[in-house]
Amino acid sequence: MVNTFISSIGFGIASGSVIALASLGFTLQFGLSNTLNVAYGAFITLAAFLGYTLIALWGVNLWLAMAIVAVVIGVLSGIYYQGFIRNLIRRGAGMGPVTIATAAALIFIEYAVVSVAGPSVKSYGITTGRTFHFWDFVLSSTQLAIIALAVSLMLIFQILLRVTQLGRSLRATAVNRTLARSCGIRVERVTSITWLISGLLCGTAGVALALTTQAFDFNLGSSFLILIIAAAVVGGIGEPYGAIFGGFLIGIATELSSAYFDPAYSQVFAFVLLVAVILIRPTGILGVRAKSRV
Amino acid sequence: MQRTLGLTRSQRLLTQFIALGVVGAIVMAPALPSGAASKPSGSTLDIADVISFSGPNSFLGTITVGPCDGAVNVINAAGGVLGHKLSCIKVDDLGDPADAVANVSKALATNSSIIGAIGVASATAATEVPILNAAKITMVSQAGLSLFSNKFYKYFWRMTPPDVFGGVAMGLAAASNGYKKVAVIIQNDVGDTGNTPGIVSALKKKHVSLVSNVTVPSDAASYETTINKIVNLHPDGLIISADTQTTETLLAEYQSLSNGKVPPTILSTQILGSNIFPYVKKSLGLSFATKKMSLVGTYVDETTPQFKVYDAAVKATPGGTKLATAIVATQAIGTIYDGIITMALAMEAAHSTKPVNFNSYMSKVATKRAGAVEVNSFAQGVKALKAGHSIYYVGVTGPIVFDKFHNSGGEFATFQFTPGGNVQSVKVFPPSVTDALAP
Repeated sequence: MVNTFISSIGFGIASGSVIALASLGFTLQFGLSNTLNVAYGAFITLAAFLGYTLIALWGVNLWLAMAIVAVVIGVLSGIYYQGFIRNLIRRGAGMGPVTIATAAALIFIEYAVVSVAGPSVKSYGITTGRTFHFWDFVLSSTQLAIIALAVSLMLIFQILLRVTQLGRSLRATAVNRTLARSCGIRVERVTSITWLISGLLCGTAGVALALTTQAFDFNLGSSFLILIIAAAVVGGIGEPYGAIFGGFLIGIATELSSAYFDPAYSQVFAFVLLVAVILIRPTGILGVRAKSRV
Repeated sequence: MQRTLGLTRSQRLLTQFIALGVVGAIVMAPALPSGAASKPSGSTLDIADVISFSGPNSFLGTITVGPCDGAVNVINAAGGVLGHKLSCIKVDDLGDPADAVANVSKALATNSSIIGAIGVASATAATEVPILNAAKITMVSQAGLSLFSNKFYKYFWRMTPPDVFGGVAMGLAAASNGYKKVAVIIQNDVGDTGNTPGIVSALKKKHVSLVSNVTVPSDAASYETTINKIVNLHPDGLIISADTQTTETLLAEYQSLSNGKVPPTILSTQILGSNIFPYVKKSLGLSFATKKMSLVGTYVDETTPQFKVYDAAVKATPGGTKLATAIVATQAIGTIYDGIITMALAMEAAHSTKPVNFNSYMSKVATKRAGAVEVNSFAQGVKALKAGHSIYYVGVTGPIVFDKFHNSGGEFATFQFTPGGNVQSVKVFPPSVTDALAP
């Protein structure tokens, strides 16, 4: 019983680290530009397919490919913000119309991926590597590497947010855009850079997700978007640490529910948790604290 | 000029008119006698291929195009039906029951040449069958849903056995392969869960221990807790009924959590058409892919003359050239070919291309009875009918015996991959065997 509990926590940390990475990028976009970017799921899919091209078709090293994909998705995310989202906002589109427009972008990008790569399931063809058993945790070398990568990126992000001028500008813009602008912060530039950073995280998460599931199709991003949003909301939407916390929480909750209840409803369990958190703390677990801290 | 929501009065009127038209088309579609209208001789009549051509199950659409076009080409080459050429048209239901309602209704409302339908798969049949039935369109469905085993729809015909018998065949294959402790993993959807009662019943009746029977969501990030529990039960065989992505994730996690030792595994032939073979070959090795992995599904006898004609007809089509023999040889799409030939023969026998007239002849041209002549092709059937004979069609999928709910089952078999990625049948399970193990 204890063994199952501990091993489930381990599996939850592994899947949660990918969700946390993706959720961190998603919540950054929301926090800085108040945009619920549904097309984020499509960028995850795009990242997975770019990874497929580099790794499975061109034989590029996995970690190098992940870095290349992260940069490409980061740049595309920046272009997407500058060329699409920013224009919508400038023309006075509210959150509702912008969200619908991003949903349209999601469909457009996913079907563009299908038209190029086809509808069949793809795989990087990389095995999960050696399995390590310690205490009751059972994790593969790939999972350990992904956890390490996720934690490293989160630490780098923490340093960026706390130590650098960009981080201070980012936090100020998130709290009060108008005040930040009047203090001399180039709000638009900060927002664009944030979309680029969120794209880097999205690209990394897309390849990591494809590696974790071993097989994927063009629905990869959309099917995980709901978990990503759930993680962001549970932690406190717009709050980076909340997204990380929410990602791990959703991952662990899903695995624990598989251990003790019917696995068919594991994702339902995650959403019961989401509803419970919203009912008790509408701003998310770290939401209120975050407002005063950022 | 008065403006509301940014629209001029004329724009609003136009918008309202279009909206009314769309709503009207959707609402009225089931009532439209789309297939009932008489067509002038020489006009082309359409067979609607109602299935998913986009979305995650779009491979289903890909594999139905070849047999549909192959059948109409064979019919047209023999002079067509009562002076009409046949044509296959795609009706994309997106694999979603809700989308299916709008798309099928729209197709029926806008195309009065549709006189028959094929496809109508498990995921969408529950919404599509009532619409097609109300529109009086004869359909040969590929749905395995047990629902249609005891609910009567006049225009519904099925040559595909219900899913529960697919499950029985999977359980029987496990026993036949010598497994003693089996773990069953089923994806949580209408098609796959339909297999569960059959698997459980067959394993129980064959005295095979069922150590785990779990249902999992599709395309999840991880199934590791579930898989870890199964690994600790040490099954000597797995039965997995799930889509390609879920199956590959399950196998990869099993491999990871069991130090690379995945027990022999049984999958459904429905997974053919995806990239399951190259994936398994790469991740678990060629030996596992060709010796330890079995596929269970309906069976087509590849040695009959009908099969050779069918195989050539399918592969001569643009869609069929992409199909491996592995796909062509599974009954699931053979019933599309046979379904269209049966429809065409029913039209000839009824001297009408109107479904209201020829629908009742579907059974008459397929059922073996005293004095009737066996025919194995459309051309043979037309010739026999013109000579005044009664006929019964035995096609690529074997004898057709419709029951009172218009269901006709078939044989099952276990298949294995060849090193080249084709499949070959290993053992055939006749209906008498699977019937005895059904719940």
